[in-house]
Amino acid sequence: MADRELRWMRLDNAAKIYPAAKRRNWNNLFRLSATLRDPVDPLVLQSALDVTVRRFPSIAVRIRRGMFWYYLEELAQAPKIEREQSYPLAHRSFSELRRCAFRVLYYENRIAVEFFHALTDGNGGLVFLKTLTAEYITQKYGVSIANTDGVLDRSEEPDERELVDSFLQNEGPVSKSRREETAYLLPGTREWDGYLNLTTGILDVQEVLALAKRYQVSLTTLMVSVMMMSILAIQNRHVPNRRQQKPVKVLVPVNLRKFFDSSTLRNFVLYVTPGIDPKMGDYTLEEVLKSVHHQMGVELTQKQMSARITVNVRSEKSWALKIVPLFLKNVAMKLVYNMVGEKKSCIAFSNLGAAALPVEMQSYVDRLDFVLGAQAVCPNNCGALTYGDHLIINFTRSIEEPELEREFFTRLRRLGLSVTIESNQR
Amino acid sequence: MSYCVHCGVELADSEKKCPLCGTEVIDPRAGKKKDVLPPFPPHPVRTQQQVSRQSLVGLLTLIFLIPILLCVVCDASINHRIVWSGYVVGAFLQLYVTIAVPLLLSARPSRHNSVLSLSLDFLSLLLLLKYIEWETGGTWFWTFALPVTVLTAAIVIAINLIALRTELSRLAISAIAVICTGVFCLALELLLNFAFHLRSTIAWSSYPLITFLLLGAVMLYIDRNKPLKEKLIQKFFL
Repeated sequence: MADRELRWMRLDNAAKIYPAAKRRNWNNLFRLSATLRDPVDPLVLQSALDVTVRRFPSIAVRIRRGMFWYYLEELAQAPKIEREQSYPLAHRSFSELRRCAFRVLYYENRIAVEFFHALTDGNGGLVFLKTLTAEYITQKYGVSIANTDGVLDRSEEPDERELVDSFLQNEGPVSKSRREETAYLLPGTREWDGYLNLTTGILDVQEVLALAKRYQVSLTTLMVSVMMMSILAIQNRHVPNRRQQKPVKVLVPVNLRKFFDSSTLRNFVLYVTPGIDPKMGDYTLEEVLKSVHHQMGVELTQKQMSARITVNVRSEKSWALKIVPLFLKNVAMKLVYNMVGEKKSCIAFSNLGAAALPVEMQSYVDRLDFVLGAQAVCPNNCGALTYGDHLIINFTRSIEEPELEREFFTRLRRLGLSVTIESNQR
Repeated sequence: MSYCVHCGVELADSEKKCPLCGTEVIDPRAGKKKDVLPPFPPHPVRTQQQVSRQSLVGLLTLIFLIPILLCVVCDASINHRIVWSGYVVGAFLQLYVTIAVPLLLSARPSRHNSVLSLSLDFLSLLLLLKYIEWETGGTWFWTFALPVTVLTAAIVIAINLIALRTELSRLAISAIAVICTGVFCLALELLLNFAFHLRSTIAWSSYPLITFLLLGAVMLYIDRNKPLKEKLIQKFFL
């Protein structure tokens, strides 16, 4: 092991903003977890992690500082697994990220992995979690699991195609302006000690799909529209004067692997921000559904995405930017992030879609969760995925009031969906 | 399995109250529920720690020691005795009493606190003045500094007591303060005349006396006349 050379990698195009955007008490993190049938054995989990990390040289990394850019450096050995705290995605300081940029946690039946967003996106993270869980189940129960459905073969060498920055490869001929309207900022009282409230809604996916089919929209469109209706109601309460109201927009991350030929395990995601302007009048759910459906339809094409990739890649490639020392870049990027970054949407709704597992694993895994950390300024965030019969929606918030969660889930109830709520409330 | 009566959502067995609205879960049919593990380990109870007054005073004391000791050492090493640093030390001690005493007293709230801390302030001021007289070889303490300080203390403490213990309006209290200022000017001139043998009649103090007395009277008059007061507030509010 000792004579093996450690790989290093440039941050991918989307990742470049995350280390620069960091705050004293905030970093952009997300989390994926698998809840198993039986309690987790920490010794087996550690051993499974030791095996798994070698297959993921772009995830088992730490952040390092170069003269002009940050970069990722492969870890010499896997980090120690930790026991879960009372809330997910507890803050990791940047000096911790410089030692190891992800962590593996366990609690009762659950294995959780929390990633710094500069390493990978939800899809890449899910492959890591699935592979780690498969290795754990193999070691613990002696089951042999097929390397399908996102479970990678741990005995293989890493595939170079998994480590490339797909943004750079899919630059288009023209770029598209990044200009967007500023959105409404949800109000609330910040938790004084950094506690992150997690509220999970568990829905029957068949019920949701039937409802979406009745409205002739996708599941994501349905959920985004209900989210918009909820935010509209909240804004009406807090900003009664319609002239002062701001657009309600939801950021929907888009997995670019569906549009471009890529099997990278690094960030390869962009987003669309469908929105509606409450100044124009009151909206019914049907109107919002129609609007969101068509906005997504216009934006979600390979050509649009390619133009959006181009503008980001071009700014990265500009020599004027390249030769600026890192500490100055950080100042500039942070300014841009603070002025623009989070102001263009009220919340993210990140749907990882239907997560499939190899048949041999299914009876061991009860549930999968996808949790986004709260943003630096916007207090709420929302991640969702479907596993088996359940659509699991995880709301996080850095404020005390569960106003948005209540609006959202009671609206789903009124639409006739059954909702089960679980939380880490204090 | 319980539902929130307010939100209509089903609640996981680990929830003791609805995470969306805080309504307690009461299910009369459900027998004694066995404890279900919550999705996350319990949060260790942490409260924001209050800084004690004593520790603040301790910090203040240490910080005050820096200039005091520096001045004394500097003075003593140059002049081989205390020449000017005595005044510095005295002034800092006065400041220390003014800040530290109310801080210490506020730990135990009592209605006598303000009188007590004000009395101590004036007492330390008297000591400082006595020291300055002694150091400069003057003869003004007993005949002038003491009566003026005591009179000032009496006025300040009296107004403080009136403000705290009576129901008088702020305007009435200000009126009393204005009248007292007028009287104080008269007393000041008399004491100056007596202590420094200036003249045997009053000269300048009649002007502030008349002004302050009449101004105070106007304020009291307005205070008594409610409609007039309302009208003036209406016209001159800021």
